[in-house]
Amino acid sequence: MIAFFGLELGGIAWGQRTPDHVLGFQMFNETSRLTIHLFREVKQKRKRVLVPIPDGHWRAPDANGRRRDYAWQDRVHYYPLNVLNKSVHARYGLAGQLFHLQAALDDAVRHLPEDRATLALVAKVDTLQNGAPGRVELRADKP
Amino acid sequence: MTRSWLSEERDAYVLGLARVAFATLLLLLTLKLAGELQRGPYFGDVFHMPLLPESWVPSRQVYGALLACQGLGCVLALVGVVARPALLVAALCGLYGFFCDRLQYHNNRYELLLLTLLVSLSPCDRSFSLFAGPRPGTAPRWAARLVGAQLAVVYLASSLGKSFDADWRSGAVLLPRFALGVPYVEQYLGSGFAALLSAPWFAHAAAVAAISSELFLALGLWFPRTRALCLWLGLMFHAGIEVSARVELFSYTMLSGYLVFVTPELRERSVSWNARSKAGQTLGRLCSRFDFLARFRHEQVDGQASLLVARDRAGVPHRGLSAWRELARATPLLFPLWLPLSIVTWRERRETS
Repeated sequence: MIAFFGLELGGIAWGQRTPDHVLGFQMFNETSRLTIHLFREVKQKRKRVLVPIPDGHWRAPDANGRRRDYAWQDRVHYYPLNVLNKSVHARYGLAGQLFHLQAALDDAVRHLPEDRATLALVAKVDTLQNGAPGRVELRADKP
Repeated sequence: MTRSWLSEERDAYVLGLARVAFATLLLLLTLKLAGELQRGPYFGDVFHMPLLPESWVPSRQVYGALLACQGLGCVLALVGVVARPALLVAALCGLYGFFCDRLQYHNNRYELLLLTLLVSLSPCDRSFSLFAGPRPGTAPRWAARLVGAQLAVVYLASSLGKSFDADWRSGAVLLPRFALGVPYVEQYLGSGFAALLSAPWFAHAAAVAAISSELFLALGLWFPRTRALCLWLGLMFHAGIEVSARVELFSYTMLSGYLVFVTPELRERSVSWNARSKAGQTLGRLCSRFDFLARFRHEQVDGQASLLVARDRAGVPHRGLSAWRELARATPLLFPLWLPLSIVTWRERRETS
């Protein structure tokens, strides 16, 4: 039982320091919202440009030049990150959802081996943390 | 003190009700997870963030089997067949699945699994079994104390987390939440109340009250003098959360945990109803039926002057509103009335004591 509560209290202490407060029992820790605007970074005329992906769907050529369909929501089913261009509640706090979003971007680019056009995925996030507005940009480059 | 906690043996009847409550709640969670697995993709096949090493994340089939095992454990615990091992297995399956994806983390789910695990370690299989009668007698109660400690840990972690957060203390977290309710309040209660909800000082006062309540709940449940007040405050606190936020099974989980704070001994109080009155007969029957916690000896007395006479643990008789207060104190469905009745009968209670 000492081990049980030791592990649990250790989990709580660790949870205080993680962005999403997992295991930390931090109820209603923030009243924050976020709006995710997702972009693909592609090369156009030797320049890197951002192409918006408003609904999360795009088409890009594979190695054989065949155009294929891709969708952000194919990999990211987790709410609120699967919602784009719409203000949603950031449950367990804004830092937690931005931490999850960075992991989601990393995961998504790892699963785009056939997409030869996309160089990176970029998320521009409008935030509202306990009433205070802000903007954050996250990116994940294709490996 | 630690030794007395470990060796203490008391009646285990009420813990059977805790087992039924937690088996039901975990079964509901299991059904929800099974429904999600059936409808959508398996979390292991899409973006997920395991707390365990990735190689420990089971395949869809194995996860389905784990959920089936968890559900079966809950059903067996619910009906009281190999109840403790079944509940333990259900909780362990749940915890394993839970640690496979931090995206699915919810405080209420984690708390439910931990409490279920601890309840399974207590002598919770001696009552409320479908196929066997209750086994009266005493049993070690240390695990029930741990269930109480687990509740306290949650309240303490939550209150300390809030009190160290400047935004929480100032009311900046609550103010935008209150703003969501302003249009409804304006429509039904008037602009005065709406203005109150929009005032920063009110949000600050509410934040201080919420932090203090959680702190009081963490500590006050352990002291006999403050326990009843704490249970009442906790009931109102969770009822408020339930109506104002979507927290899945959190309120029910915490309220079920309160069962371990019920005095284990049974029928130390009594209620007698006037058998000649129709109301006395009906209320007596209802009262007996809803006395889930076996707090009272129930009697129907011919020729009793008042409708209800309640005797407390010391054997002191109470009549009128004081009798209803005593009844409300120990009857779960009437418990919300206990504090208002205590306030109304305050003078009487002081004279009696």
